[in-house]
Amino acid sequence: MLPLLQLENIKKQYRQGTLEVMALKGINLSVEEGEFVSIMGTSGSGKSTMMNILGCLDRPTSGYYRLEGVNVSSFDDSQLAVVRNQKIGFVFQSFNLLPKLSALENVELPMVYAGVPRRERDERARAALEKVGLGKRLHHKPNELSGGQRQRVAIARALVNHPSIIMADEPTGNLDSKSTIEIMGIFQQLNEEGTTVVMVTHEPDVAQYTKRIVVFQDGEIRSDHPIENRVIFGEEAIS
Amino acid sequence: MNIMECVKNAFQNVFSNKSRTILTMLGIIIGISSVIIIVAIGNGSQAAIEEEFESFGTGSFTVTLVGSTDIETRDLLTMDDYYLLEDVDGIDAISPTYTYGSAFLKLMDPQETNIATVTGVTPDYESLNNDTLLFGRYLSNNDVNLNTKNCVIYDTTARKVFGTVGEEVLGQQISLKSWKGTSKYTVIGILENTNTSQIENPDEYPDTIYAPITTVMRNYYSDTISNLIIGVSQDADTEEMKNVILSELEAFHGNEDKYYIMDTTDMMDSINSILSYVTLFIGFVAAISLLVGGIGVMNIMMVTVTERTREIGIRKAIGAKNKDIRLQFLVEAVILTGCGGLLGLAIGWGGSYLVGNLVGITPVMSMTAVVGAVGVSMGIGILFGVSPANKAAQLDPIEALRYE
Repeated sequence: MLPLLQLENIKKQYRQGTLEVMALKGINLSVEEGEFVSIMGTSGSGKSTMMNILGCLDRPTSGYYRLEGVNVSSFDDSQLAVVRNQKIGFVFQSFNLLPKLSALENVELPMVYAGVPRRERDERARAALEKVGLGKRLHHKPNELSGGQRQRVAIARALVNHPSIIMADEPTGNLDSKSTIEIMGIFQQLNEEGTTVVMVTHEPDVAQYTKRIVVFQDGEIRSDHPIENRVIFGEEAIS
Repeated sequence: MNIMECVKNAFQNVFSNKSRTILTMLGIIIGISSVIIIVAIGNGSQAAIEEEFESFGTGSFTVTLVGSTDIETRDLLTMDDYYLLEDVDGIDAISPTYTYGSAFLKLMDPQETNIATVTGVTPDYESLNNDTLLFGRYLSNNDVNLNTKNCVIYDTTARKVFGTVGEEVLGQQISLKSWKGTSKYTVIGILENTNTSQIENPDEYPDTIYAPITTVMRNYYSDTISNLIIGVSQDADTEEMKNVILSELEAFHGNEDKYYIMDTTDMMDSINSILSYVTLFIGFVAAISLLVGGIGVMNIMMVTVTERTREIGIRKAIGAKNKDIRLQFLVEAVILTGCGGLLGLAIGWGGSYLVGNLVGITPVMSMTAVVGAVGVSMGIGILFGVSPANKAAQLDPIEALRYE
């Protein structure tokens, strides 16, 4: 069976002024369905660039990126938009909710672009919010919610189109430790139910909740190994 | 993304910042309302002029002597010219006129203050002057042949002299006082006065009394007539008829270039065309303000796109295509200008009645102006919305997400 994500010699070159910067120097990486991967690395290691390419927000300069066996590295803007809409769910550090829309409307948005009829949108958005424990805050605006609650809305939004993979970019970076644990619990639960999750983080504690750690350094993969002593939500050692 | 969804969304966005929206719309509102007012007032004055001409008689020729110094006695128009042209092919109606009055003639109404004119005519004059008989009868050939002292008057005159309009006025006598004494005419018919300015201010205009031409000429010792009013048949070529009439008259009098034919239709057409050029020109000036309004909309849309860069990034990340973003901002621009256009239409509508009241013209709203105003304002939205919308659509999602 083909891996869910398959990267083959992915390179990414940037131009910063007159300087050519090689952000990714030939990455080979596979992620199977059902995995829970954390990508780590210092700033400038290329992990954000990696995330943008994995999330189909950006194209590699060279190399192949196959998502569910389809080479998406040569897709044009609107094809990539469809891939982001159907196959990928994003969770960002700064939540990235639309401030004028309610929680429910924010969650409905990916389905609006997918052309899902109103009634079905409403049902699915409610279900997704219930799933992340926000069934009672459907009509709150983002500024009426706490950081942890906002991130739950963002997770519901990422889930609602039943994507192949959830891409989380520092999802706990703006959260206190209690909310961090809760959010990681939600990711673990989703992963248990079969959702593949790839998460960028620089906090080793957070990475301990995942199943595999890929460490980037200077545009290359330095290490790639399964997690030992994995932390399971609800069973954390009391420190 | 479905278009209704897009419109609903755009309305929410446009009206979430009310004061900015209103200020942006202001340019469009002022532009559209001034165009509406100018067109309505222009059409109104055109209609007023047409009405004035209609009460004067349209579609008829007036033959007059040219105003020059070398006029000889043989050139003067007389009743013989009337008899000459009466039987010419293509002439449907003809009436000589001889007018005496104004400063020399006083209408002996109860106040004895009104000046009047008495105009001698023949029966054809009723149709040539587009007059409508309310009571009694018009002057007949008998009246002309027998020099009767009958007359027809307008309802405005009847009200002034007899204090009433109706059958009871018929058979009563009206007195006109001149230097040679007072002459009495028996009223046999009452006509409807359709000239609005005379109806509104009856005391400021001399009253016109129609009597048989023969009677009037004899009464005031005249051998000549003032004009010949001629109506030609519908299917006749008007230019050719003018030439026929002129050559008949010139052959009869043995002269050249002494007569002039005034054609009311021609005159009305040329006044109308001057007026529509003036309206067009002022309208054009007003349209420039629309253009300025459009530029204002473009400016605000550019600012909006910059302000909402992050939102655009989020929308793109979750699957909005470039064309979805483009449509969103384009629809917002069209809503902005479309609503401005509708408001401008309402204000222009009200404003034209206000202005019309001030200048004494009833404004005429044309459907073309109304539909055009709304259409043009939405068109401006598209025209000036395209470039901000493209800017938004082309934003790089990564850059946009990073924007603070």
